Parts: sequence; structure tokens; C-alpha cells
Amino acid sequence: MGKEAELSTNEKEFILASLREGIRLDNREKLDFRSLQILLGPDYGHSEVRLGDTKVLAKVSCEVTRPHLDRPSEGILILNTEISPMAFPGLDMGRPSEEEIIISRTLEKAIKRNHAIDLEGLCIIREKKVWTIRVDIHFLDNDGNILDAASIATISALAHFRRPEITITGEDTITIHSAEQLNPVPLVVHHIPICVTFAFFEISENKDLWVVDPNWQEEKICQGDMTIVINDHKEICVLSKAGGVPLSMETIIYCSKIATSKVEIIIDDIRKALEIANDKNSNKNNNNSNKMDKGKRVNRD
Amino acid sequence: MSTQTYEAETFRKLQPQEYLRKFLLKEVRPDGRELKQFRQTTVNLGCISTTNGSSLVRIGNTTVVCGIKAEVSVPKQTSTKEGYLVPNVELSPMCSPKFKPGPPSEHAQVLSENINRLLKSASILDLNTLCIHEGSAVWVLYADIVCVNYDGNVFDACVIGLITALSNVKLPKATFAEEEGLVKATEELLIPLNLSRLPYPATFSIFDGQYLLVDPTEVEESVAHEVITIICDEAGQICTVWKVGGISCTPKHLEKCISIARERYIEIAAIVENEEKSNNLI
Amino acid sequence: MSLNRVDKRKFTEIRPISIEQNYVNKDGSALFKFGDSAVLCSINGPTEVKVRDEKLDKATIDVLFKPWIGSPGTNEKTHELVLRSTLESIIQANLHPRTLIQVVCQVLMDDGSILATAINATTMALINAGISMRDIAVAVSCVICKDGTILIDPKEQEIEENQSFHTFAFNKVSLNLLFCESFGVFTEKQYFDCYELSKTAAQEVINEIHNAIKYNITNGR
Repeated sequence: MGKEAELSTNEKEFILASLREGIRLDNREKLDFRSLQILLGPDYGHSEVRLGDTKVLAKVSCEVTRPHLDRPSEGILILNTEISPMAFPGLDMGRPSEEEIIISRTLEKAIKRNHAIDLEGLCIIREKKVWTIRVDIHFLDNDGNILDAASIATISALAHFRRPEITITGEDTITIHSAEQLNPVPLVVHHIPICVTFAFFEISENKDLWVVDPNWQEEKICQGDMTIVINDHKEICVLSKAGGVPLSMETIIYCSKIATSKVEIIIDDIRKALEIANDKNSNKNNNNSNKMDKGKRVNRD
Repeated sequence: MSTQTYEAETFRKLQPQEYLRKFLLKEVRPDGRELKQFRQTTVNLGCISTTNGSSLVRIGNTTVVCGIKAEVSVPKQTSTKEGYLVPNVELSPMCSPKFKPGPPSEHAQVLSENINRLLKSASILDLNTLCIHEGSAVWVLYADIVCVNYDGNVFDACVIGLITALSNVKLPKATFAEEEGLVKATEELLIPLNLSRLPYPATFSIFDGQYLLVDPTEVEESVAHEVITIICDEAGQICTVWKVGGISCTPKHLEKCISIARERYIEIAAIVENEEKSNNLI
Repeated sequence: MSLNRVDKRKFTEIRPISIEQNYVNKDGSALFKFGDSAVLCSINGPTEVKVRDEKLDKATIDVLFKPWIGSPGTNEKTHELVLRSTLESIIQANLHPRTLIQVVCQVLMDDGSILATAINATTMALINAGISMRDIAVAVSCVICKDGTILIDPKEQEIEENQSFHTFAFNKVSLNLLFCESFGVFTEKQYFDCYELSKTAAQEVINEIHNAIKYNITNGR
């Protein structure tokens, strides 16, 4: 597998010099996110996120399995973040790369350890049957900050997902209903954690040089980065800064304020995308609704 | 410059394609076979006594051993009556230096996958017949197919090995004791599997877009990349057509392959029948 | 015999094709859709090759197939072998000795006939990447139902209850058979019926690919 292209010294110096003058090559301000597009559907739990040219797709699926022995009344959430040379050219397959480890750890912390999804509600029969929810995250294109895009894709796919309705028919037996028989049910989302990544270039006493949502080139030349995960209640869920330049307290507090305002906008976008997707789905149901569906709607009215 | 003469072996190593071409011009193959001739095929049934069913297949120098081991397991949550049949092909460094030790190579994985697809799509064995007690216990049959010597056309050997080993399987009569939650099996009553059909394969290579080579050896495989495998059953129906590589295959080639595959079916069925007869005598 | 298919198509009708090129920033890429089955293929290369994979007289072709749900298994490995051996017979690999052409196929949505979708996506991506080829490959799948009806380009739902499943790939120049994968139980006549119907459908795919190339040229990307 070939090597990934690297930036030349000239390019590096040019980008850095521009940044010193407050100019980013893609014409953004230091605190600007790139344009964000969230495409949900057509299936439940299918989300494609485009952050500038960075593209991530998340697909949620579910199946009935046995629970873990130590957590007999909890469902299971699996995040699969295998990366491929599609987004990371020069990747050596068969060996977990550094990028992959960072992405999967941070997502794991942001979504699983913060209990963003209610797992107890996914229990069907204690010690015997639970739902396993699986999120496959596919990285399609990497133009920097793939982690933030992945977190948006993952949580929006989970919020959009509907699992089939089930009924317990005996001591150990259950019936899984198809979408035509009974309306599928959404997952319980406790809160929506979103990653916001900062890249730091030069930190000195009189001037800090840093940006939010770094693109691929900025990522290549930065001295260090920091990811703050904030949820819709404006709480910090994860703060991850592994090495790189040392930062002052003030910078971190300032960054977290910026992150909070960014997260608000992103969550608004997710909510809008969910509304559009839900409208589409309810239209679909209206068009090919069967008797059962109609009966229900009458009852509700 | 003086004309140089090579030993035949040197010529083969330096110019493998040209070497084969020289033979084919004379309508003969490097190992003395005609183009449409299969290598000598033998089948030995029940050669591994520790398994529930086994067979050893030789096609020329290619040798494959298939052993089937039955164990009791818990069925899936979604299909509570179905047992499992798990085929696995192993190509170890023992059979050819081109295979490395470690996890299964792509070649081995593709062989396993195609065998699995054949078993499923032609529903050779009804998995419900492997049920011991619904929801609690089923048979799981591990079909390990090990290549001992690799000299081309290993897929044919694997399929013949698996099918004959399956027809050789005898499972002990098993009952599920509900109070104890245990499976009890008695070796006194052995039941053979009920196979819906017995498909056998035939593999071909197309060389230079014009020569159809039946049952290619390893040397032929390495230069003729266009490979066709046809699997037929006893009624003359087709269970698998698998064709990869090359761009010279036309319906004419396929028709010819199918008719040869049917002749080959009769040949293999006769070999297997003979072996079964002699096995029953002992 | 059912008169209509689940999505009201004719028996021999393929689903609407959609092709999007330069979907990601690579040497070449294309998104190919048969209805709700979508495969994204990206090409890197010809690029630097590892010494262990280097071939002195031609380019090494490396194919990676990533499924929609779950981790790659033996099914994906088989798809990789099929794609690689198909590409090896159409790419002019001898023009780029000691290099690597890396092909990555990622399933974005799976609604049946995924291997055929992947072959078409790969063809489109190779054209988009400007890799020299002596021919192009187009693929179509079909199923034979229990009542003997042949359905071209089946959806997942139609594949579940069938007698046999077939995928054919043809080359464009002579419409010879590049690749075939047929599993199930069927007669020789049924097989050749499938062959001919798939060949006709493949012609439609070729037309769509032509249109996509024309569109790309006239729109200057």
C-alpha cells in the first residue's frame, strides 16, 4: 500500500504564515465550522454527514442476542470504526493505526461511557434476550476533522434509528414484528454528545494561534489538538487532549465556551434533519398504509 | 551468437506460457493427458475413525481429506430448530510452499465460502433434521477439509470430499432430557444423514482463449487464469456455475463445459459407488 | 405466477441507475446505484507499491471490499477475488509496472445484487481515474423464482425466496462472459435464458455508463 502524500515545506510555511495573519486557506474565520450537511435515510438509522469535503456514513442495525454475563439486564451497543484506505490512503491494513485507535476511543467515551443511549430499555428477557445495537461507521473521505463528523453521524443515526417492535409470547419466546405489522420504536436517547476539535499551531504568552474544525492541511501542520465533547444540556462529557502544546487554563475555558456555541448549532442541524426525515417517513407510511396503521391513526385522533 | 539450447525444465521455468503452448499445439498436455481427460480420481470413505464421517479424495496428485465431527450446541435465537453445518477449508504450508502459516489465506476463504454457498443454495442438507430438541439442543457438524497435497483443481477435490464425507456421516441417536437439561446419545443406534442431492463438480481452464483444459494441474492453473467450475447433480441439473478471470468465454464454451461436467458426474458417481460397496463388504 | 414485482417493475427491467463521479477526493471515484443498492468505489493509483507486493512487469491490483453492516468475512473476500480477477483481465496493468492500483469498494446501501453494483461502480471509478483499460466490465444479477420466472436485478426481498441466484459480468467489446457466479438448482436451459436476459440488461448498463461519461465531459469535471 502506497504512502500518503505529504505537504511540502513551502506549503507548510505558506499555510502557517497565512494563519498568522488570520487567514485560512478555505476562506474561513478561525472560529468557523465548515458547512455541515446531514442526510438521513432512506432506511432507519442511515446517516451520511458531510463536513466540508469530509464524508462519514453511519449505519445502525440491530439483532436479538444473549446479554453479557455481568450485565444481564442491559442491551449491547457496538461501535465499529474500522478505517479503510478509502479515507486514509497509505493505510497498512491488518494493523490498527493510530488514527483508528483515537477515533474509536473518543467515540466510545463520548457515546457509550456517557450513556447517551438507554441500554436497560433494550433488555427483552433478563439474562436471556437483549437487543444488540450495532453502529457501522464508514469513513468515505477525509479532509480533516473526521472525528467530529463521525460523532455527528453516529449520534444522528442512532436518533433516527427505529428497532422492530416485539412481543413476549412465552417464557423464552418472542415475536419480532415487521414494520408493516407494528410501527417500529425509536431508541431512547438520553442526551446528544457532539465532538468539537481544535487545532493549535503556536502558543505563546502574547498570542495564541489556533482554529476550530481543522481541515486536512491544518491537521498536518498543527502542533497539538484538543477535542471537547459537549451535549445538548451544555455539559462537558469528554475533554481529550493527548500531548502536543501545553495550554493555559484560560484557553481551555475559552475553547469550551466556543465549543458550547458550536454544539448548539450542530444539534439544531441534527434536529432539523431528523424532522425532515421523520416527515418523509410518515408520508411514506401514509401512502402505503395498511388497515392496521389506519386504525391506529383513528384512535389517536 | 550461438543458438542456445535449454533443458526442458529450464524452458518451463523461464517461459511457462510458451512451454504449455508447445504441448497444446500437439493436442497433448505436459503430463501426457489429452485436453478433455481428467486425472485419475480415487475416493476412500471412512478413513478417519475418530470422526463421524470422513473421506479422502485424490485427483492425480491433489489430495484432500475431509472429516466431519458432530457436536451438540445451542441453536440460534431466531431459528430455534436449525442445526449448523460449518465447512472450513484449510490450505496449509504442507500442501504447497505457496501457502504461508497463519490465518486462512484468501484462497482458502474463497473455497470455504463457495462450498458454503453450494450447501445452502442447493439445500443439500435440511438443517432442521439436525434438531435434537427445539430451542435447546441441535447438532453442529464441523466439516474440516484439509488439503494435503496441492496440484491444482483443489475446489473439485474439496467438493467431492465434502459430499462423500457427508454421505458417510452416521450420527448417534440423541435425546434431550428436559429435567436435567442434558443431551443423551447412544452409539448403538446410528442414523445416516438425509441428503437431498449429491452434486459433483468439474473444473476447466481456458488457455490463450482457445484451449479448454479439463481438470487443470497447478502448473496449468498458474498460466491459464480463466477458470470455469460447473457442479451438477444426479438429475443433470446444475447447482453451481463459477467463472472468473479472462475475457474469452462464450456460451459455446459453457455448453461444452456443462456436457463434460455431466459425463464427469457419472464417472465420479461410479467411483463413489464402488468404494461404498467395498466399504460395506468389510 | 405473480404478475408484478414488489416495486412494480417488469420481470426483465433493471432498477433506475444513478452514477455520481468524483464523489470523494481520490485519483478516481464513483458512486453507482441500482435503485436502493449503492456502492462507492475509490481508486488510488498508480501509486507506490510495497516491495513485497511489487510485480516487475505489471501493476499490482489490490481490492478491498467493505460491507454495509458488520466486519468483512469470507463473503467479502470472495467479492474481492472476483473483482480483482475481473480487473486483471481488463486493466492494462503492463503499462504501469512496479506500481499499485488500489481499489476500495464500500457498500453504502444494500438492497440486493450488491456484487453486480460493485463491479459497475469499479468500472466507473476506473474510467474516472483515467486508468488505461482494454475493455470495460458491466454486471447484472438475476434470480430464478420457484415458478421458473426470471427476475433481472432483484431486490433483497426477491433474493430471499428464490430457486437460484446468478451474477453475470460481461465485457463491452465482445459481450463475452467475464465473470459468472450461479448458485442454486437450475437447468441448462434456464441458465442460458438468464445469460441472454442479463446480456440484454448489461447493454442498458453500458448505455448509462456512456451517458455518465458524456455528462462528465460536457460539464467539465
